[in-house]
Amino acid sequence: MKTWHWMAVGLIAASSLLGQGVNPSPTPWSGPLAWNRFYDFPEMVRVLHRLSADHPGWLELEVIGQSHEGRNLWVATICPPDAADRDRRPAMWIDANVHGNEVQGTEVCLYTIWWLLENCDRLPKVRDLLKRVTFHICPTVNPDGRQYWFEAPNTSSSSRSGKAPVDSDRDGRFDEDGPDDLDGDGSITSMRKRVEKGGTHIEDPDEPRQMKRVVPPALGTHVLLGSEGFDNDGDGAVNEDGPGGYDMNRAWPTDWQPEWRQFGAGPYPLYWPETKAVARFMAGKKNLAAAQSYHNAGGMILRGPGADSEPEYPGEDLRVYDEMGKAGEGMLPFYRYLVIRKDLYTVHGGFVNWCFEGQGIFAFTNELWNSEQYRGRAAGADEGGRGRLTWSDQVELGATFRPWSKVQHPEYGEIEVGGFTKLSSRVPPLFMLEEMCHRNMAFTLYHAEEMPELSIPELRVETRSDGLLEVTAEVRNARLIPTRATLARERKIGRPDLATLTVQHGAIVLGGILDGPPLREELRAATARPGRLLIEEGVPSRGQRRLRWFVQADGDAPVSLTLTYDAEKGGLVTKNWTR
Amino acid sequence: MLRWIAVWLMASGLLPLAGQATLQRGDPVASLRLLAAAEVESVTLREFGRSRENRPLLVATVALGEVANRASRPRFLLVAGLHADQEAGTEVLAALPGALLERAKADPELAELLGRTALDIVPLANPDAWARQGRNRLADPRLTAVPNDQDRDGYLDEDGPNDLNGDGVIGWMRVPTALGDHLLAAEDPRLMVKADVSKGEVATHRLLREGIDDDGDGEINEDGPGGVDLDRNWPHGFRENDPAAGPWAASEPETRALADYLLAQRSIGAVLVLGARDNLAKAPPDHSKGDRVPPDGLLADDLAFFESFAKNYRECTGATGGGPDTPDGAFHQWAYAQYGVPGFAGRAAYLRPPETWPNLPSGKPPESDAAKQLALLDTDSPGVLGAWSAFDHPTLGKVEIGGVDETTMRQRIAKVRTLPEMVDSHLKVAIEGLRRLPRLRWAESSIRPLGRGVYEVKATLVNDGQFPVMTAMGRRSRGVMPTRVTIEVPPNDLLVGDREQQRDSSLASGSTENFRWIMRSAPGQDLRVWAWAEKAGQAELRLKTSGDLR
Repeated sequence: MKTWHWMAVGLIAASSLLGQGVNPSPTPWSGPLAWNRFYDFPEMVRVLHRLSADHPGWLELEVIGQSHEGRNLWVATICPPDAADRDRRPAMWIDANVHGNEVQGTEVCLYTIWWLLENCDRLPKVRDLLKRVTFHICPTVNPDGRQYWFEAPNTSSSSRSGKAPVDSDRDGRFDEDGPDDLDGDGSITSMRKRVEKGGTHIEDPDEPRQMKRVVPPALGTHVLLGSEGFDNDGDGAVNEDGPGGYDMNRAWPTDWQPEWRQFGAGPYPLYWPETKAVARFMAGKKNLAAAQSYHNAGGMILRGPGADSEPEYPGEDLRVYDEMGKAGEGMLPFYRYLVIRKDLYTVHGGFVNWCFEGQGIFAFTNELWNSEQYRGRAAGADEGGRGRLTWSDQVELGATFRPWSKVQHPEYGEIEVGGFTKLSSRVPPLFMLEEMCHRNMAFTLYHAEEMPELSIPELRVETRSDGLLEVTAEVRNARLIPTRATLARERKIGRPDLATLTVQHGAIVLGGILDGPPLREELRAATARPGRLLIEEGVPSRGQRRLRWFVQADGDAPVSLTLTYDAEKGGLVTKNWTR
Repeated sequence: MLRWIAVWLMASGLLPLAGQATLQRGDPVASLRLLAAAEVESVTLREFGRSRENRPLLVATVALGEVANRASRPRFLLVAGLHADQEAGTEVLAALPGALLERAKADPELAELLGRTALDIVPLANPDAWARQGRNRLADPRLTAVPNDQDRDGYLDEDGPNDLNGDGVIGWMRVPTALGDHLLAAEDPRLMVKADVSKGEVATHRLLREGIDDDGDGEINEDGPGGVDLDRNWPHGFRENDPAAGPWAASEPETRALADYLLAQRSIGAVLVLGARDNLAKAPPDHSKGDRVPPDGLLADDLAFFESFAKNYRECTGATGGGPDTPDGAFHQWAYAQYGVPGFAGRAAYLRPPETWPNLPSGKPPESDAAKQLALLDTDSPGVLGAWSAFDHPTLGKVEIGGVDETTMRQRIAKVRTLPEMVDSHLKVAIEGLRRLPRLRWAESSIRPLGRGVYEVKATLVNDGQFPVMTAMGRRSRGVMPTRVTIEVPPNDLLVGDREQQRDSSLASGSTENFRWIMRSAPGQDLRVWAWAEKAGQAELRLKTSGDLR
């Protein structure tokens, strides 16, 4: 590289250090919690510890692993202090920010923790919810990526990756040619160059800050040169090997595909420490029945499947998903309930796919923020893209757009740099952040509320003859989510539900599951271990499972029965009967 | 070679027995530790990870000559012991480094080969299962020691096989019933075959592994000791929701450690696994589905070098038999389909077919592979293998226990072969593998003055090895880095051609790649061009603008 190139690098680096607005929330946080700001990683940790200190016993903080750069992966567990069944009751996993630039999910997580703790004694609905479910909340799965987004100049789309170096251009060097903040403003915007003739674009006559493509044979006045940056490694290409270069939401085990079929997947599933730590934690919590992952952007409530290699989910599971998804559309204006592979794009090895297809956990990804929320759908089309500029000018008072300015580029000569900053497009304006947090939390708490809630309303015992007792039990699920997804039972994921009848002063002769409608039920008898029934079907959505045993007692002598119904994702309920 | 085999025997606590080393369980890497201590210049023994039970995972590297370039040399990786019943593979690999060095001392050509390549040996990839097998011979030797709830009933490892007749091995139970699906083989009643209804055959028996219903759930042997099969735990063709394959691909620390080793040692150019799988004994390998996405066989462009190596392997080892090589999470399949190098799998010991087959007890020669193996083993230990005896089973009633299974057969074969014989045959395989690794050479070059201080440089790169620089699969999977060629010329003097070029070329054996540059230079100027390929190392070309090739 020529000497003057290096001088340019030095000037750019210096100007970056002096640049304004590198951290979108530059004021160190120390006051009361606020939901009109973003928290960088150290601030996020402080928020967690403050909430933990303010609510002793209710919030447990746990480090489940470390990121590539050694930052802690924090999980906040919310559960009443006196709950002995924390890991046996239905539980929900909530995470965010697996893509480093998709930052606002972390604020939704922090808001959810704060709001639940603030309201656990005030609102009966919250109190009742926390009486029966546990929350595990991981505010950032990618702390390195988060901190990089805050500290380094970026676009709103960079950088999705974690920070393990990758040789993206396969030249034997790692991360050697990423973007460069040429104008030192703290953002990576766009480069354009005026040319005498033969350009591909012109300045939009109605809005000169915006570029408009010309249709040949017309000749443009400018060429667009991509994101800010120069050829750091002298290989003739610009920005071809930036920091990281992988996708931790393509690294999950279900339908994992190698790198050549799925960009970002890594050499094998869960290759990066962040994903491995989360998977280990979740796989150890068999009671996880619901999961929510926050991304940005587009205003979507997404479910799997992620790719055509996975068939559509069974009808019973779809009914559960559809009811929740439609409810979400009601709670989240501007959000649409969509299927990843059909409505978005193909994803192999996605997190929510692993949750449902690999673990039997009903899971959604919410793509937070939709730019229609700026002005509302009624405003119509984006006015040729000018709507965002109008919003930036009028409502955000110019905060999210950098006017074009001239810089000297090492390879291209005099060019102009400008465009939307990283605080535009994918993240909401800060004054709209709190509403986004609350509405998404509300949807997630609704999802949690629909996790299985079991009861045994009836344990009916009838005497047949000669001391033979017919014991009929009904186990009910009051909620939308079944104890076992149909897909889980088809693929034999997880342990089937377990019904155990223990008898004192008697012996079980036969036992089984009652199939068919009332009055025409047939006993599907277990020929072995009748006191310990494994029920692959579980208890369905807002339905019941009926069980029957025959118990031989000694005439009219005292007998006591205890029925325990144990569902991995539905909790454990017990009913006694004594004569 | 014999000296180091003797060291191995002493270190393992085994005694040679009338020329045959009985393959017993000892410390399989003890001999390698001694060897590494004695031959510090040429053998290194390194820990590349830890097993789930914290046992070291070790790799021995054999190389001669310059030390500084050893890490980047083309290397051949041999792995054994993914399953604990593959003793022969482990013990052959443990003895191989010593044998290789011994031979290199008397063979200058081999010494030269070891001076530019390296042999990596992982003799025991699953040390936990090996150790557990010493304590509990009833456990499934294919599985790791981690407990597993294979029948998903909430209990771990509660219903494994039982040695009902007390003979020290888990055999088969054949249960007479019209509801079965097996019958006694016509050619030898010790063998059981599935009834072929289309041929009018009628099943007479059920076939079960030896055992009882320990947990009273109505099933027999449905949840035995052990957890994950490390040769089904790899990402290529991984079978989700198969408990023995693991909760997910590369879930086990042994798998991840070995994968990470390969990912760090990027110059590993071929892999051979000695174990239960086999894609070498049978010719040709199944490549009919190789163009599927993802591929479940060889790509057509990789068939020639693969078949050539397999032929040589069969000649060295007498390999026969073999079956379809299905991509269900096997290590060698991952090495080919995702890591991008030739991935071979064979068995350490094969029965050598005789000129004429001995008759079975029926008086007829054997026809099926199983009957042939039985017939051969009968000549070594007549009637020992496969006999059935009556047993009164607690829930099944009157049954017979006996029969042969693949593991028993393999172990018997290993006992028939002597250790020196097996080491010698695999020594040839290892040397051949090293010889076949890709090797770059500048075959032709020219530098021609065009006048006014401008020169045209032409150079041709050739692969002298038999394996390609990049397999067709490696190119597709991007598992192998492109070949890089760099001409050391000031950028401003280079008029045509790039200073650094990358080519995603296979450079199959004997094939060439041509390069051309036009540059400005003073007369008599030295020029350096060098080529680098991940699996083939480096080749340097020195030129002078006068046109002389140095």
